[in-house]
Amino acid sequence: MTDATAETITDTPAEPASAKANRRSRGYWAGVAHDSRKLGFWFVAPAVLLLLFIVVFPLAMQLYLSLTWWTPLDGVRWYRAYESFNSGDNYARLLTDGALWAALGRTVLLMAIAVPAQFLLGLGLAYLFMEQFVGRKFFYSILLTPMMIVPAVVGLIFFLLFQGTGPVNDTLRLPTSFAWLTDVHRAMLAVIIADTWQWTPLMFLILLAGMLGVPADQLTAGRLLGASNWQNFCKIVLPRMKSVIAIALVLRSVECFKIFDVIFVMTKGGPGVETETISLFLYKKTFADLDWSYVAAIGLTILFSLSLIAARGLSYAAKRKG
Amino acid sequence: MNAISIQGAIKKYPKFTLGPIDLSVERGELFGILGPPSAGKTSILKLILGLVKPDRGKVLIGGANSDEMEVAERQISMVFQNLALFPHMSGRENIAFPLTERGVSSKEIAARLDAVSDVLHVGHILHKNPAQMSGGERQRIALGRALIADSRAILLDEPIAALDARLREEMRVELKRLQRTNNQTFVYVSHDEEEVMAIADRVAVVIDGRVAQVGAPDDVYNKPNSLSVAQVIGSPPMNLFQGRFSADGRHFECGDIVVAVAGIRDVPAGEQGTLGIRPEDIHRAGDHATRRFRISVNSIEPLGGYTIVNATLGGQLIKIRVSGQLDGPDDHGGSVVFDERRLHLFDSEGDRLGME
Ligand SMILES: Nc1ncnc2c1ncn2[C@@H]1O[C@H](COP(=O)(O)OP(=O)(O)O)[C@@H](O)[C@H]1O
Ligand SMILES: [Mg+2]
Repeated sequence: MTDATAETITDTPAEPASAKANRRSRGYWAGVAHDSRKLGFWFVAPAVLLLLFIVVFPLAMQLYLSLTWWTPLDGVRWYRAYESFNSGDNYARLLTDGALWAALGRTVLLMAIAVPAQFLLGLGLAYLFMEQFVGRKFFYSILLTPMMIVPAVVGLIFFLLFQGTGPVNDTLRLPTSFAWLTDVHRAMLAVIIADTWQWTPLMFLILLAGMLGVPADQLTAGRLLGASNWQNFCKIVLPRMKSVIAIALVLRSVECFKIFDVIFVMTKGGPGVETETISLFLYKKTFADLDWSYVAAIGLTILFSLSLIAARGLSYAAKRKG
Repeated sequence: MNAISIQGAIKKYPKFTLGPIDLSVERGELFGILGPPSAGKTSILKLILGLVKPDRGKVLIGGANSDEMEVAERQISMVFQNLALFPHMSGRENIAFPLTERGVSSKEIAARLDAVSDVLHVGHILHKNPAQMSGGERQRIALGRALIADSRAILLDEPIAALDARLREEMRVELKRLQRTNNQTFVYVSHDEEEVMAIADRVAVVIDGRVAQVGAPDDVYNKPNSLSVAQVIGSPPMNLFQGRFSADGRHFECGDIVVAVAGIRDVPAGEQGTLGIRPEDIHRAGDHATRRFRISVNSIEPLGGYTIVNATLGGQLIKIRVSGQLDGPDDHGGSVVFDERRLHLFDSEGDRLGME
């Protein structure tokens, strides 16, 4: 760089002004690159501001309120909430809140059963759909419909299905006194079935996309080289789907953790608190107990932990890719 | 005995019909299939592999009808045009794949892997993934995967088309060496005539879904049995002149170009036809040459070992191939003669007129 400049100057010793112009012209593109970066900043600035407003402001407000005793009943404006600053009492409280941890436990239990069930069912279905068969397109669209239904409506459907006098008992030849939604153990099972019914299609869709992403030539090669369909699947397809699988699992786990509508309609978290997951717990805290600052603290804590876990899951997926 | 034999096979696609194809590949032969893109070369391989069932006709593998044979049962390996290596496996795992899938003992796998990697010189890249290999290395791994299982035949679908020119030449020599040392049966598909001519024992020219000609590369080159084969084979392509056979059947005339048609049976006197002459069979006219043609030179492409002269003859562009380099710009200017022993004459249907 300095060489080039020196050369330019010695090329035109008598005309320093033109040398300067020359040098500037050499650096022209570098200048544009620099300017365009500045310019680029101004172009994205509005979007960044908007993002800050949409994402950062609510979070910051939540953090702020979570550090106070503020509730809407006090009649104090939210920005004056600092007057009841409680030095993190809410956070200390959530660590020892038995009801909260019980709700968390139930949520994790639901996830631990529902997500693997959805995964296995989705994988099996996707495997079947790798082959061409009569009516494949038809079944494909049928399979995807549950996913499109509003969750609350799914809740309603299963609420009706699982009534004592409903079709489930009827089909299984159970007496009308056989309760699902009001039974301590079966209520959660019913919820898991409803969630699985609704979300297996998404798993199926993601996994099928992953499977179809494997080049046909490789599967043909595998076949020619003596691998059965099943061997092909295990040796060629599955290893290439690691990242897709990780993404599907993370996505569904996060969604499942937040489950609300279906349960709200089916059981309202009952019987007792048997199907009260974290979302329902928060809902009750918000609207029944009006314990807003505590809810804010819980919400933030969950957001933080969930992000950490999801990020780890996804970085695992990214590492496995390729 | 034939390793592979296709008898009257026809496969219809909505917009393309393959066949009827009749071909037989001898054991231990390097059989070339040559044809322009979309001629149906890959489809022929698929018939052999059993990936496509013929609508009519049959495919015999090792003398047995293959109708009932599963794809894997046929014991035919294939090197795909895009290689289709498994990206998540190392070179070693890729090559050993056919054996591990068949449950061969690890001891035997190791022994065979050694043998194959010796022949292919791939010992040093076995630990790499395909993504970390060069094009030529990937090629070798793909070959290794096809070689390691004892297959009746190995089909290669434009196996080196993706490599650069120098590597292509190296690889084709190596393929030939491999085929010879292992005494393997190879079916080698390519659209590059030079490649196929260089290594094939016999070659089938496929045009528009049909086998236009089968024979030794020399035969196909020297005696193309139809106009379309003549056009496909040879680079630069054969010079063609459309004209008419004289009424007495002793000459072929195309404007000022008149050649004697000596020694040809059943000349279609008075009918239209085509005269073909390969670029290397046009020579500078000597002082005493009769039947010389005036050309005007348009451009010259000195290619080192030979030179291509682009010229105009009788209002038509022609190419002349001269070995070595030209002495001066006027060399090959002026007059040329055709090597009359090496004329190709085709009737109005495009069929070759046979010499006696
Ligand atoms: N599965 C198929 N369905 C419809 N047409 C096909 C199919 N496979 C090949 N063809 C057609 O057959 C022709 C020959 O194809 P291909 O055998 O791949 O040619 P080549 O290998 O000589 O380039 C092409 O025109 C192609 O469109
Ligand atoms: Mg092809």
